Amino acid sequence: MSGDRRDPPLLGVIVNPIAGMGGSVGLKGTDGAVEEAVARGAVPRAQDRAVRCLSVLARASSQIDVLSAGGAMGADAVRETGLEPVDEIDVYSLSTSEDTGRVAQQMVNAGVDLLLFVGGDGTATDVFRAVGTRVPVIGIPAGVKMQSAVFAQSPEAGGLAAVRFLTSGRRHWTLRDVLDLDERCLRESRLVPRLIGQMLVPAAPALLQNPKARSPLRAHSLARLGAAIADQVNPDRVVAVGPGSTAGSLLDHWKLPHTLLGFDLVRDRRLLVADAGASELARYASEMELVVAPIGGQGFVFGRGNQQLTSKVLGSLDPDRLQIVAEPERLEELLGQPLLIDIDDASVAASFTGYRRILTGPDTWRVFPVRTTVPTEGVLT
Amino acid sequence: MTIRHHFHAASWQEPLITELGSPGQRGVIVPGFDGPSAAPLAAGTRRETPPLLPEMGQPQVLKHFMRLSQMSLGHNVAIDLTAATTTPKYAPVINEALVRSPKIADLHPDQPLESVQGLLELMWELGECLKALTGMAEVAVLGQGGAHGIYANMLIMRAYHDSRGDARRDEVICPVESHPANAAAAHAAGFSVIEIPLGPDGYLDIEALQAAVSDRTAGFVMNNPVDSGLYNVNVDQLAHIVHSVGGLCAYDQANANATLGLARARDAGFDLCQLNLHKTLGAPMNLFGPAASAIAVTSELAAFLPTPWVSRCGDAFELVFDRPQTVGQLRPYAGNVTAMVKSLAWIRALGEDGLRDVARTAVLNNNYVNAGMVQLRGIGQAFPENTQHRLDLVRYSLEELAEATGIGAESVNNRLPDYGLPAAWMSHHPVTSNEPLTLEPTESFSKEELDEVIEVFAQIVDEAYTSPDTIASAPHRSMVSQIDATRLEGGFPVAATARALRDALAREAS
Repeated sequence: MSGDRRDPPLLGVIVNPIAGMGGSVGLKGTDGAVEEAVARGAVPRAQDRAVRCLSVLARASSQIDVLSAGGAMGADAVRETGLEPVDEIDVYSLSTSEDTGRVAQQMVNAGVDLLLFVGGDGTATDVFRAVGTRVPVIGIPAGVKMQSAVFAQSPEAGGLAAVRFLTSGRRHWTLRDVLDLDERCLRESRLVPRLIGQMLVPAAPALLQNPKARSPLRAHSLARLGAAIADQVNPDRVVAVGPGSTAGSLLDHWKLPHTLLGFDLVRDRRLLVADAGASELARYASEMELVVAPIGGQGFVFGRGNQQLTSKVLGSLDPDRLQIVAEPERLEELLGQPLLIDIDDASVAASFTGYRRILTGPDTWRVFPVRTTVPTEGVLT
Repeated sequence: MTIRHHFHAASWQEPLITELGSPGQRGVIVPGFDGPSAAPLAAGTRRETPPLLPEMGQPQVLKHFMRLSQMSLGHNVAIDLTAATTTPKYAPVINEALVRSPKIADLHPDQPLESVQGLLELMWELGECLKALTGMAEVAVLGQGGAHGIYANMLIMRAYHDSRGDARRDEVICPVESHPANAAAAHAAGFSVIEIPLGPDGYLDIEALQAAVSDRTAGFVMNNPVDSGLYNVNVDQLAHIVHSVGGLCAYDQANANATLGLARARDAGFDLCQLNLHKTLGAPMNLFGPAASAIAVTSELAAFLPTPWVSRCGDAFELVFDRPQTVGQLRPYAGNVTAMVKSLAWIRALGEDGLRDVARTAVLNNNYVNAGMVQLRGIGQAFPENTQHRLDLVRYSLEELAEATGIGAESVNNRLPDYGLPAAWMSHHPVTSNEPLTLEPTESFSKEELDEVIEVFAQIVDEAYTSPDTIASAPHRSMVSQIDATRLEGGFPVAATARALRDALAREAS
């Protein structure tokens, strides 16, 4: 991503042609349910969204070369805008996960400066697994569920972000979360987002979803938060540090490794157990301090992304020894909604609810409501 | 007035002054001096190499700064109601003549008080005006600026609780939308900061405030109206909640333009407050300076005021230093006198009714612009569910525009200078609404100017829907190209001084 720049810049385009089809017919996603969606009369929408996005590129004054996946996975949409791909990558079947991943990988090998994909969280996950952080990406929202922070606000916004990024003198990008919901759970009206990993996206804050989540100094603010957490926890106790980079900032501060998607147990600033499971957490629960951050966009404290915290673990934990930590922007994103707890044991859940003090920086707390969820039908719609 | 379609900023391509001049050039040759000289500095204090100051002749220095002024969309050339939250108002130029008079300019801060009775009377009279405007019992006009005034409020809170043997109170409560200097001042005074979130109506969550107060609460500090333009009508209830646990309430009145002469801090139940002479009260804000703020308190807190403040004793005026419980001196001498002169001149020129007209006109102007702005496609207000009239400013939200066109607040701001308007203030931190943009049309703008601003926004909104890439690549007629707000993230050197920049660039090059 450094060194000599290709001129004109090269943009990779992948369209997941079936993205979003489930949504229109009441399926909460299309992963593994294409036949069902088609049978219910679903209409493809990804192509339309792709064309809207690529039209911005077609109108741009600067030359941008496009490398696209073949046919309905990209080239059709590119041509509809009057652009001509410099090359196409053959696809064998229409957008299986394997196809998306393989094409994305080939695009990276071909030296694309930016990868634009049209789809939802499932597509984002496939792209992430194939390319990780080897190339910046922009997601064009066309799916049913788009929890990940890699999506543009609209197809046009994504197109503009791409043009800006590819033609600007200095290219800047930032790490954003890729999240996915388990669609089988979703169809049963349960929200179970998982943190899949992080991808690079252009730092074009106004154009990406959740513009408030931006901070040009996020690394710095996380370092401050890590130091602030360290001031609050008692290092003589076992400290359990939850998933995500926010809670993990404590371990960064202590220069310890952190399991991005799991719990680490620390005592006396030494790693006791890495990636602890429910049984290890249960063993220390009655004496430990717990540091967690809300995961994903909905503000879940327990019950999403940290299922290791079973009712049994939390039942033994002194509620005063729970320190919820959050970057202030994460709380703003909730736009007045409370933080949420969803665990099986209602009385255990209740012991953590009410207005709690969320640590947001050095000696700074936000008094914030924490409530339990009552699962309701159609919560996502 | 129509839009300035052919505006073009002067673009002098002027380098930084540190890159100008050459060794040996001089602006002034200082004549030699053969009188007594001071003892040389100690070896450890003396710098080993001279500072890398630019060396230039007078005409080159003059041209440099004239070029910079031409390249600025400054207060005296631009319709700067976009510089919202700074109370961008006209500070009468005639008042500059007053402070340049030898009667002020030639005074020495150490001269005997008998010889400056007139100035002390002026300072006393200003204090009386500020007491009348706030409803407070005593005032000290000693802050160097707004944050300094709020810091003094925090010190007074601490001194008050300490005087009662109540040293456990170590927390100050702030609404999240309160000015960042409030939380910073509380931290600087050694308090922890407890922030209260906003509800969907843009008001602070009263239940959260109730949950936050305790016997550790030293006090509470808030602005009203806040930067959304919303005036919290429950302000007395908030004060009651804080008082019920023994805390003090401080009102940050840095911007009191909407309530001048109409609502007073004391009547809202507050114990102490701070006012900016250089924003609300007619002393210049926008780089003319100097700034000054007043710290006003109830009689119960008067003993803790910083010193010295002016008191009247019969026909004579004196400076009060002798206060055993004072939080101390905030700065040398008796305050920024020139700001006080300008402020009193402004207050006296307007009179009591005139001050109320300032507030009413500012609110009217703001609501006029508001009505024009929300007619524009894709532009709404922050906290739309709150239908209360905004007072002196409005936090707009360009979320709908951004979603429909890809053009959000940052892009609109890149386009404004093409029409001769300074980029608009977006939001203080934390950002509590999407794609925020704030305008503050104070009493100083004519209807023609307000119309021009609305027209420019209408033009840019139209461009967003019809030719968004024009905006995406803007500004086109300004003296700088796009400023990349995310530069720091890309590792661009962060430098607050010329030396730091030089070092950072050298590191980058190597």
